[in-house]
Amino acid sequence: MSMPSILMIDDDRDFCEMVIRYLREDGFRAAAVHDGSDGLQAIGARSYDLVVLDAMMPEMGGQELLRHLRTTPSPNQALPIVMLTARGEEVDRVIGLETGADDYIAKPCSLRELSARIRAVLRRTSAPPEASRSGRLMSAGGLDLDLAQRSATYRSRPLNLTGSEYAVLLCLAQAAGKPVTKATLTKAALGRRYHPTDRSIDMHVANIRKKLTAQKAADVQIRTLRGGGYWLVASERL
Amino acid sequence: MQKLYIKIAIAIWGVMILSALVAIAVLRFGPGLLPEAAMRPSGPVATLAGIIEAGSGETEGQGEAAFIEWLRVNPLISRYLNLKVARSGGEVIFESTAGGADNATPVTSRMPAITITRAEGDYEVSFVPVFSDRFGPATPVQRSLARAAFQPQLLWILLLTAIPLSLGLSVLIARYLVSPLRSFERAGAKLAGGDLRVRVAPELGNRGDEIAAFASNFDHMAGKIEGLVEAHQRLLRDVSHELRTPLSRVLAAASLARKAAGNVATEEFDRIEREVDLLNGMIRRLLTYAQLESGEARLCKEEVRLDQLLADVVERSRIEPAAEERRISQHIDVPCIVTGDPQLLTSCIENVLRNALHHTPKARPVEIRLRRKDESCALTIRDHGPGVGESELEHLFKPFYQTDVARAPQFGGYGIGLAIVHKAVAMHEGSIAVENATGGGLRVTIVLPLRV
Repeated sequence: MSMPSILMIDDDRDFCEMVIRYLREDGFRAAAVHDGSDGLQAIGARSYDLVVLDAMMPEMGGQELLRHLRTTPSPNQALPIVMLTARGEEVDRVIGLETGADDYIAKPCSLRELSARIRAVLRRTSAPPEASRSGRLMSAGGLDLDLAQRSATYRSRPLNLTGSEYAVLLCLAQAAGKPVTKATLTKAALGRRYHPTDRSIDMHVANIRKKLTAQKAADVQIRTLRGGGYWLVASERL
Repeated sequence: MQKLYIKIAIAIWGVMILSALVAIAVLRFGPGLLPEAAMRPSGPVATLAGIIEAGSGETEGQGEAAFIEWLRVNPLISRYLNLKVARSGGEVIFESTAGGADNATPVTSRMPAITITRAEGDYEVSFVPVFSDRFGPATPVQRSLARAAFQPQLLWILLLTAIPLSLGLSVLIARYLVSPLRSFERAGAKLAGGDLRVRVAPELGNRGDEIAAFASNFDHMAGKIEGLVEAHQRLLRDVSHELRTPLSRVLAAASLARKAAGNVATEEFDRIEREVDLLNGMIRRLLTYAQLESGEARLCKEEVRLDQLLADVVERSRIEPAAEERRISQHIDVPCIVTGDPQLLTSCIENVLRNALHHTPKARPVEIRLRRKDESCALTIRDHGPGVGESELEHLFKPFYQTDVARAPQFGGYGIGLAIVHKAVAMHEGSIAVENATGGGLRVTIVLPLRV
């Protein structure tokens, strides 16, 4: 991706101005809006590669926008989203991930870190397809992963996974039934380091499970490893 | 509303009346249900049997007919008893009903029988007294008493039914009256434990008595507490947001400036980032402390690998500037699994470690040990700094406590970190101790119970 296009949604205008400036100097195209409804409008009007969303906006808060975006069928349903949260406020972070953010970064953060996090998520959610190496499809039970499109279906019905959710599922599927630690999952799917209080992978797995259950995918399960980790169990394809 | 004492009075009275009614019912209907064997020759039966036996004695040697005649004319028998005499073969030779038998009802439906042995042979004499209007109407109570007298076993039946019945009823009534107290007890415990949404009134239904009034007041109080706590939390969140906004901007501006400056003044920019981080940490700790103090903090109760947590905190602190030229030597023996809140535990370790790194001189390392001891694990962090005066050791856990400045002029205070640690460790049912280590420096020991 040559010059990814980033949308910043945050009610602090001065902060947004500085972030936009920095991102542009860093090789991105960037724009900002300052509340949730403007954000939804902007997302619908132009095509962005990633959205940075502040969790703590008044009125239509970040979580609401996120929920709306993830549950409404649209071409932007799986748009990569990084949430800005206040450090140490676990609840904010977990809620954001529960409704489908791809990753989070705590404010205040240096813009260098923000830029790096954006790149990490972009890399993971729109990586060049691995199709050339291992074929276009990967299957486990009724689950199909389209490596070129970076999407997953269950018995041909789309699962509507976010970029991060897809990345986690792909990592688990590639492990072919063997357990993967949270540290490995964080590195592979989120492109950053894991620390013990990080619930991101747990939330992504919970969301994947919810979506699998919604499709009644009884033959595909993600099991939890005691001590931290997950593995994918799928019975043989019929 | 004075209804509760009315309820109690009616309940007691009701139980008594019910017991009396049961007694009467048993006495009235009981006899018909008793097996024949229940009629033992005692009490009135024995007396009547004695009369018949006396009669037999009097007509001893006079023949069967004399005996029968004696029975027939005996005033007691003819007025009050239905009588039947049979020979041992079963042949009935005499039957009579009491006093002419108009509206005569036997006391019981079964006739007790006795065997009379005479020279002529054995005779079976059955008899039962009757109630008869001819002798004046007997009130139900009189009848019941007559029955009871005639069949003492009835009294036993009465005891065996009335006592459990009245007991059961009393227990049910008492439970109805007192069970709300348990609701209050549960609600109070939940409220104290942090669940502010608990309410009592819906559980109690429609009582309309003093307990209902109390429940309504209790709920009102709970509502007020919930409102206060919510307001407090909102305030904390708002304050934290307010303070972090300029911090975010400072960092953003510094990031831009750093970029614009290229390779110039990198140290100064590092410094800015560091101090902002410190400020942010302080805000976070203040928030945490306030939440812990007010009891708002809801602890997670998860399985935590303390050794992994510790290793990670140490790893991250090595990158922190405070630790740049300080060494950390760690000995982590075994995996330790505790039950608790990973966020808070990380906070604790970070706080203690930060203090140690602050106070230890560049040449000496901070020593960290994690050991398992019986059913708990002990985490020790020891620095080689100036230590703390013996008299001041116990005050270290007070927020923002300033130790004797002369000893460590540049790091007078221990900030709020240790206050948080103290509170958090207590919430995890552990303990914390501070002492001056031999050879100088402060040693902090945190003991936590291992997960069962």
